[in-house]
Amino acid sequence: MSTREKTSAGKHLTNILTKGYMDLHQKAAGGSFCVWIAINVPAEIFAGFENVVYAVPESHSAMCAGKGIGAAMCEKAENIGYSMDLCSYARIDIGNATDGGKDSPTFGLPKPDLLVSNNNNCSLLTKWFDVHHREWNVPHFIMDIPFCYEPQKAKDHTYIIQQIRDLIGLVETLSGQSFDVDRYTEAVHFSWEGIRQWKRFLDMARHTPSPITAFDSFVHMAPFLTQRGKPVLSQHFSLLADEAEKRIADSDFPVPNETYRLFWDNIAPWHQLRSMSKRLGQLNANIVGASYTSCMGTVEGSFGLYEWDEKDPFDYVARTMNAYMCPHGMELRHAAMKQVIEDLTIDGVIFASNRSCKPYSITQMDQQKQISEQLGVPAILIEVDHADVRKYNEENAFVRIEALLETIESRRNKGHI
Amino acid sequence: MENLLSGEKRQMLTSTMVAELIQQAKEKQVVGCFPLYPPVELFSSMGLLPVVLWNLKGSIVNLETSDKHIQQYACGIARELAQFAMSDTGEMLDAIFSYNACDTLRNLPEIFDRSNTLAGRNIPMFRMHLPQVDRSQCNPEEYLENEVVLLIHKIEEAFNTKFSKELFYQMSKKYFIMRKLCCESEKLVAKGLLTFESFCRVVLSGYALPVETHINHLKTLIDSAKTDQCSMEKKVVISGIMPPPPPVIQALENKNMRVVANDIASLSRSYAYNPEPNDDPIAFYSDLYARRFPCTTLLYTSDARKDAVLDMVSESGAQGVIFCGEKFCEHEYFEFPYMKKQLNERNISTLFLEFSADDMDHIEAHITRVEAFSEMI
Repeated sequence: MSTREKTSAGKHLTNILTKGYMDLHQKAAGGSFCVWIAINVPAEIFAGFENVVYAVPESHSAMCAGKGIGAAMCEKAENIGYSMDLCSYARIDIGNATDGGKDSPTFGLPKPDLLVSNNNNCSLLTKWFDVHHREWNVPHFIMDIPFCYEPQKAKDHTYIIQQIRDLIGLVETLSGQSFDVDRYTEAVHFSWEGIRQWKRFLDMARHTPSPITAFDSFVHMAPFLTQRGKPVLSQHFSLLADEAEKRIADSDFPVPNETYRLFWDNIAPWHQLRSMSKRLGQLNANIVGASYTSCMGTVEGSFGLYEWDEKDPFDYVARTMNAYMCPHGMELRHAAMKQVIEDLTIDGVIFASNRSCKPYSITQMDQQKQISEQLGVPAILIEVDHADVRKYNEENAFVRIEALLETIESRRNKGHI
Repeated sequence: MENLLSGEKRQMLTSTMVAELIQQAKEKQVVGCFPLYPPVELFSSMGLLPVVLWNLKGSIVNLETSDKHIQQYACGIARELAQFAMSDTGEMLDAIFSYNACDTLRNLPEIFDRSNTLAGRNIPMFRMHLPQVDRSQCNPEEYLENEVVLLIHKIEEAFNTKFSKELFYQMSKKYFIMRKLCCESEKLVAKGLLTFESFCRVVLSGYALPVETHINHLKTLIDSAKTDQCSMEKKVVISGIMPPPPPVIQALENKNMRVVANDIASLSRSYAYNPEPNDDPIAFYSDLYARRFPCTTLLYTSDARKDAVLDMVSESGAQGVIFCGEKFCEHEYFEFPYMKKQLNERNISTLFLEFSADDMDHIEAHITRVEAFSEMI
């Protein structure tokens, strides 16, 4: 993948993220009620209040890793006793909290008035937030979202809605502010508009060669985490999709001689975005999609957009609480992967076995067999850690990736593909 | 079941658990339950034998099958469970039960199911979602009630059996007696009249036994208690998911350390709260899960856990706490630094040991550290 100049969408991303973090700090310093959330806590809820802001520690940790300071921040947590085996996002965040965000590109995050975790992406998030809960004596609300082995059941949907209402009640009590359902509905609408544009952007990868790479989607997903419920989300993703469309028209492709179309399964290797994309480009390989970014705005078993009729925001939000891969069982993940492999004409799959994310990784060995044996698509498993570069070995990873490309080539020569 | 585990592999498995299970499997249908806290009373009341699948080290030959399905950075409990369930030993299981105990365990049922299906084994898979909300913020009782009712229906359907309130009452009474005896035994260990090693052996073996047999073993254990003065002077509490391996416990007791209390998931966290017998499973489990002794895996017990452990240490007069880390168990590892800090601020010494599925070769290093710790307290 060739190194490209920063596009309009790239510049827009920098602007909205910078402004987002500045606003967050300013508003929190000015007395706004500040909530820290896990990534699939429905942030739109907070737009239903006059003066509540939210921060997303996972997104902040990913940013730190992307800026190359992840390992150093992990060490700060390790120095106060947190094991190197714990999730690197958590270690970055806990390390960051030890010195008030001294080395963070965003000057850290403002201290929270409330922590809201959930356990469907991973239950360790709850343990991670408990660290702050205990250290700072800040209330911690746990959203308990049942894991899906099958599409979400009515009993689980009802249980989630009940918890959303309980959370709203708690924020009202703690912040002294009243919840306005119309503001909340409007925020869900903005997120919905944004996710539609996001899907339009990802669908550009159906084109061969692809005008986008999974690395673009990794970088640009950040606003979906930090700017949910705002009009800027739709503006940004619309700009992104328009750019990709123009690239097709201009025949301006990130991997001009795209020979191998790959799919990535797991969280982005944040510390490797630039080097991995460059090295893959030199091999004429393009990771055109990733489960990590394809699952946004979906429900279990498919990467297709989950349509909202714009009626009941509680219903929609609860129904999409299981977006992301970790809350889904293996068979649902396989169903979604199978479809996307066909849709994007994928030649090979990279399962990134991620030491920092067991819930994403533990079924991958079986998934790899299913993809290879049932679909006849070559698949490899490589070792990564999403935010701790010390646990990643580039050469080992690329030995396997190159073997994957050779397998694809060999199968083509034999007429299997 | 007659030809179960025949030949060489059977001879290699020296575990009494497997031997017991083979015997039991001839008489009852066995439900292999994922750790940590399955509703064993319910399964027992419906004529099944619930076997909680932890403490499996002695019951498996190696981890070869597990390693084909699960990465080695899963905890030892998960890997041993996978090995047990997906190899020959799994043939003893007539059903498998799981709940949302942790991120790793929740992903295993489908792996087992697929593996067993491919191997031609059709084993019913039961599961339930244990509500993990903080009860001061949300009310999960209706949800839990529904989960228990659904589970009962699934068991009835799979085994052509019928739930009986009377039998549930009888079984909850037996488990009440069993837990009470565990508490009594623990007190004898605390007084130095029983060894922690023998206590662990008997309590842990109970996870593979009918509760009636377990009760008998516990009574025998209690009867075997010494009556003379204890010579172990130094008082320690042990915390973790599993107790340390027997050689480490022996080293600890040889160095005059007496386990005056434990905060171990497979021990006191399992029996310390003892609900009264009840004929209503909904009321029973609602109470049991809400008031169970705090555990790192029960997310809603986080606030209570600190006080529970500190009270345990204070009331037992312990001079030190030994944390037994189950490598790769995030639930435990996120808490160690905090608990260590709390204890050290109260002048309680702490030792951290880490155990994994593969490290029995390094047991000497653990023993040396235990010996050094004994000299410090």
